[in-house]
Amino acid sequence: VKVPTTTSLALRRRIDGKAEPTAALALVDQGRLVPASSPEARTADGYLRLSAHILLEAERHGFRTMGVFSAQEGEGKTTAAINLAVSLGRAKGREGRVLLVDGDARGRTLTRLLCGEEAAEHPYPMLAATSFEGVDLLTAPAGNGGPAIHAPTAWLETLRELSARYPQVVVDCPAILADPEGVVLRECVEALVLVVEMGRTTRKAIEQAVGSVGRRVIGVILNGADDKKTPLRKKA
Amino acid sequence: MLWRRRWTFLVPVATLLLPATLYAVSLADVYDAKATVLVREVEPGGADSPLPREGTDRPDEVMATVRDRIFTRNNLQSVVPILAPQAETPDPRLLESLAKSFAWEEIGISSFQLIHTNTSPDRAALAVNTLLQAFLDHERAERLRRAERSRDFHAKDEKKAKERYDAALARRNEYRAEHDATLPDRKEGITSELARRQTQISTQIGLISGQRSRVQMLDDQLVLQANQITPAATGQTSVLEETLRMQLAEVNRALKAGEQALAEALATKTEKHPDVIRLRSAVEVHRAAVSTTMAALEKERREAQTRVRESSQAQLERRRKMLQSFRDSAQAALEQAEETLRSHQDRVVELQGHLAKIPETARGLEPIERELEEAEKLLRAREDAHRDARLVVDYYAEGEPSEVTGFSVTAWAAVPVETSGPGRMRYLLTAIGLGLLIGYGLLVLRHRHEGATIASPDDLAGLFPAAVVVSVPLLGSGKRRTSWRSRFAELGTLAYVVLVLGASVFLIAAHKGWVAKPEFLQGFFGGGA
Repeated sequence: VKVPTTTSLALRRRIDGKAEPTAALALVDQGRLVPASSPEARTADGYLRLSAHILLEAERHGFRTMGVFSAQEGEGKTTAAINLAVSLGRAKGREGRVLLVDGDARGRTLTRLLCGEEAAEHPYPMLAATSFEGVDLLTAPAGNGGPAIHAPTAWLETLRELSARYPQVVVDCPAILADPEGVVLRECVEALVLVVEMGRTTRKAIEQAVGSVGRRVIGVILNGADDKKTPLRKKA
Repeated sequence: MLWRRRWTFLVPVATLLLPATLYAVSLADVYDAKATVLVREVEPGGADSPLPREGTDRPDEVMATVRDRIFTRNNLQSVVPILAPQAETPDPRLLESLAKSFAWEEIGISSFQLIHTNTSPDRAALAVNTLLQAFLDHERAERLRRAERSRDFHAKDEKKAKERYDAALARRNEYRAEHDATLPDRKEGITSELARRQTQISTQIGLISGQRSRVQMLDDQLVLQANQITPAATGQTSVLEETLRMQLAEVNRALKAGEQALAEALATKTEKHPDVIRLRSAVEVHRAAVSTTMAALEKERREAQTRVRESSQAQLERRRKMLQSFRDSAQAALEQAEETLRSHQDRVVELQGHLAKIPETARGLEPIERELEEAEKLLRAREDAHRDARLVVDYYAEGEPSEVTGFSVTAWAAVPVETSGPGRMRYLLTAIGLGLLIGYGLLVLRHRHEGATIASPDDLAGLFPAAVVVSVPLLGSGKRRTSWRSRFAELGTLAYVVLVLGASVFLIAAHKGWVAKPEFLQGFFGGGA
């Protein structure tokens, strides 16, 4: 794959005939996400604004764990989690590192993108440094060979331990309406960031996904807004 | 979005397309036969003719009703042998179905087309032309019937008007006969006669006055003549007396000449001289002649006086008789003049009476004359109307149907060569459109069922008022895991759509002749391509 070095890729890029998520602040290099040298400004501004809001709210309310979740699969949740973590990690004067937790045990996309296929096949979660400044990754917990969920207490305990070491823990949650694990994680994190794909996600799905924790949603990422004006779409 | 919902659209489209294709290819080819008719105003007798028009012939009004007039029961019966030869008695339902097989199209404001669609081009053209001809014949017959009715009506009107006119004329003549002398149109004659009579009266008065004077004069002369016993000497002498006077004067001259010659002879001669003796004897002779002449003259005078006297008496008598005659004549003339005067005066009185009665007669005559005038005017109008109605009848009876009915057939129906239907593509497009519509309806229903999608940041701001909303371009819309079940369902749907669409395409290709028609479907295809 020829990786562009001067421009960021803000949209879907095809790699080996498969759609892979990319990020404004990251580039895909040989199946791995690497930092972008010049991120796409509008996207980066959006995440920086969200990061600023999260930092303020965290300072105000004292929370450290936050989950990035969506109602359905494929709405850009993992990409949003990476971008949010990267933008949080780039905050000047901030203490500590940002931990990105791959909470999607089924897909393990985040682990695969940041640590490769070998890490994705590893049976236990691992803490790993990423190529992004100030961002570490907790890989996804291994699957247990069949449909199952982790107990909330396990997640709560794990997140409590992690939040003691990391001022901001960003959890990439599974899609709530597709994976029950997402419901567990939704209840275990202290704050929520919802990812919505414009024109696809319905109000009803959002209401089902948020449930009774709507008050803990501190940010919403509207994915696909003003899509027509993006350079790549024009080129296409 | 469309790609994501592709099956929602493709399944209804394919499901509807197959039966639509089956239906379309099963239809037989049809042909349209068209006849074009121009509607114009009917001008009986030409454009400038004053003849009345039968009914209304304004093209816009005709166009409003011509459709119903074409598809009447009588007209449609003419096409029954062509379009439904097996029908023994045309019932209303059959006629109604026949009427529906014809189309009527308005072209502009004064033209229309009569169209018939049939699987046989010859029958289509024949049906259109037959129906059109029946329509024209019926229109002409209808107009002729109306014109004849109008003519009969005007004939009755004319007869009534004639009777009224005759009655009014008789009344006027009777009145005029009764008041002949005092009719207003006699006024001038009466006035002139009156003036003439008055002039004659004046003349007669003068004449009478003159006659009276004459009679008086004659009376006076008669009285004067009666007083005159002898007539005064008139001094007139008779011829004999004149002759005697002249003879006496001659004798006296001869005596004086003899005495002078005797005196002269005595002066110179003696008594005895022969000349003196001769002269003396001559003087004596002359003296004797004088005496004799004087005696004769005296006698003649006396006789003349006697004759004069006798003559005067007779003359007086004649004169008196003449005067009397003149007087009688003058008297008679006077009496005649007086009689004439009286007659003139009586006539004048009579004329003045007539003159005085003229206004009254005129007042009495005026309504009669007015009635006669009105009756005459009415009669003339009725005669004109009757004549025009007769001309209109002739016009409709003798003219060509396309001329007298106002429906000019600009193009009779020709046998069509090109097919006009069925609209197979229309059926297919309709099926596709209907399928898309159903797909859209399903999409809407699904949308309602699932709820509205998020379309703007404002939607999210309403849902999460406390959260910050950031908008980013479409990032990382990763692949979605699909289950085998859903994949199987998608494959099944794909197979169904491909099968149905393939069948439709095959049917169309077979109909067009691009591929051979299967044996078992040979009878299914309606024919044509």
